Amino acid sequence: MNKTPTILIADDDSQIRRGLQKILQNHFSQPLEIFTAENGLAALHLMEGDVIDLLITDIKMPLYTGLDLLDEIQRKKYHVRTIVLSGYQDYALVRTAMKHGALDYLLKPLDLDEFVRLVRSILIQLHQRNLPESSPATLTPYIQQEFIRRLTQTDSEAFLALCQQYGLSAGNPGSIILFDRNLFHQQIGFEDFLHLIRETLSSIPDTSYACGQTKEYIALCVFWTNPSSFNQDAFIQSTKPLFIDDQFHLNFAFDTIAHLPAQYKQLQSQTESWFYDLALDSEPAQQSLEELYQQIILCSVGHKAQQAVTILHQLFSHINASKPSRSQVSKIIFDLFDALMQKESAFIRIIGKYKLSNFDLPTIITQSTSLSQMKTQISEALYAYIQDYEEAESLQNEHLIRKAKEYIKQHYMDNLQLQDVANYVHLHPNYFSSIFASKTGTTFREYLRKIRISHAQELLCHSDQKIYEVATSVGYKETSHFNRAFKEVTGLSPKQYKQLHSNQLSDTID
Amino acid sequence: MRAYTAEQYELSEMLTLLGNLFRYSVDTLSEETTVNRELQYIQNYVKLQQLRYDDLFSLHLHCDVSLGNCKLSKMLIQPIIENAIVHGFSSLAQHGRIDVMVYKENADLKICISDNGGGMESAQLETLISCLDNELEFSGHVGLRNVHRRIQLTYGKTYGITIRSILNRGTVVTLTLPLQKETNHE
Repeated sequence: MNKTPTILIADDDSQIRRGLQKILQNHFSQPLEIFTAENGLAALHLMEGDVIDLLITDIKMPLYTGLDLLDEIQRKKYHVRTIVLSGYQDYALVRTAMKHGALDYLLKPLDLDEFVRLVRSILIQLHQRNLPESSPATLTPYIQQEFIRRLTQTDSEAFLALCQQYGLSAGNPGSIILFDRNLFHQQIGFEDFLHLIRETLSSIPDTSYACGQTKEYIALCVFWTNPSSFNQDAFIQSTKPLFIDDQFHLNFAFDTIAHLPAQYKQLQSQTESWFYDLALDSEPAQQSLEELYQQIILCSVGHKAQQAVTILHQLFSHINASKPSRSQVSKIIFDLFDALMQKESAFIRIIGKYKLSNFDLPTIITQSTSLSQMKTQISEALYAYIQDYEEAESLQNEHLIRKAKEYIKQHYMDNLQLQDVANYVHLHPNYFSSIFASKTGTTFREYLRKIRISHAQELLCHSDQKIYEVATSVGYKETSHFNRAFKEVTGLSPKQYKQLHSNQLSDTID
Repeated sequence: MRAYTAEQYELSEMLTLLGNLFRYSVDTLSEETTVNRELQYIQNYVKLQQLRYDDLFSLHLHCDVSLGNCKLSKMLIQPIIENAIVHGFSSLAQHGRIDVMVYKENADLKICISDNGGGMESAQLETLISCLDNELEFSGHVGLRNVHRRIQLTYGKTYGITIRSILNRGTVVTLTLPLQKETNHE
């Protein structure tokens, strides 16, 4: 039989009461019966007859505080589960509340997600009321997570407080084992592994465990609830199925619960070795980081994407061989791209454009859980950057050549030199000359000559200018130069051309 | 000077930086500055914050050299950096990083400020974006909205800021401004 869960919110701040009520109504689709009280006394009144399943209460309330309320609940042996809200990060107060039977505490301002998660886990508990009352072996997922969270934040005081709350005294034996997450990506899922843990540990008497995951690994804490049933050999024997591969787990010998936080800290520093998962090269690169940087940058600006990636792989072999700290690895990769942007500012726009995409550097660099993953993703990103760069540059060049052509058309009559046009588009004359040739299929000199001669043809046909005058107006100082150029382009001398044209009247030879 | 002689170098450094910041903000009557000067100011500001936050994060500036003399309104970047430091890195396990990228896109000057901090949930981001153009209702996010409004008032509605953010990955704020080169005195 399932009765609607009843929740009571006690707080002297009416906004908090209304706010929490709204949050609960919005986040849970199941029907909830929610009551509110503005102080402890009113709350106690509403709880008469043990009718409330979950109490969410402030500590500091006028007349009758949350602690008074907890006392009274204990005295009356109510079965209500209690979450305490506290505006102060006051561990002493929190511990007192825990001793008085609070299930958990949350700090104000409230972390909405944490609050909803906690309430959800309690509602699930309520739903499974027929299960044995919270014996340590059936810690709820939320409480397990809380154990691991406190451990990973290396807050040993909070960790031990939680242990104590669940009847695990600091002198009892315990152990921590860390499993490499990469293994789970490849071979088995986290849920499957949890199942395996449950199966394995349920056969060991008087133990309980907490299991949780971080970005890099899965942490398993095993506690003995009764020190006299601790048997190291038996434990090792029966947990064999968990240790799939020696490479993928880390642990120390067994210790007391009080020492687990310190153990964890040490284990955690060792997990960095999991990061280096590339095969060792038989011949590691001899070049220094600096040399590799230079080569990668050179290939990148030279549009040699494939080659740049190949050298990038050498850089990763270098890192894999020397195994610097994880933060040092990040720095090496960041430095490479900083140097690239320094060298060629066009990459600033490209790398900026990819922010928060799959090719976002900070995301790749900080979120990679293994060097091989980082290598693949950084290679893909670099390749994409170089391709974009090539494309942008090609567009940019086309634009510049268009501008140069217009400039030539406006200034062909002056004593125009390659240098002038190159200056106009802000390029080095040699570089300008080479991209001009590649984009137009003709050299700058030929192009200029064609423009001049076609204008000369116009003038010869449609004006009365003498040949030497035509030569000057299209930019030739020497008439002899003009004559030679004209003949090379049209096959006729200017004189022949003019005669031919006046004979044929309207026709022009193009 | 007293702080210096008392060998409180850090304090002395902080005061020098603070002095530089003040000088810049009251410097000239004009509201305009150049990209280089604004970036210089940002470096001072961040150095001061690093002393305060114990080097919890680092700043990386990437600026197209040809854009260093471009003109822009004063104090457009600093409020965004401040946001990144205050909101972005509050719960960060790894080292924080702020990148400021200045580049040209068509006829626009773009300034992209990104952090690898906590980021935002999409709902939170939507509220933030909607309040940028909301002129009536007063809500938080004063800094970002102020920058956005100042850009639009100075340069017109086609300019302003855009924000993108992903929870646990970071936030990117991009300023779009008209490209105005400082007049050459050649």
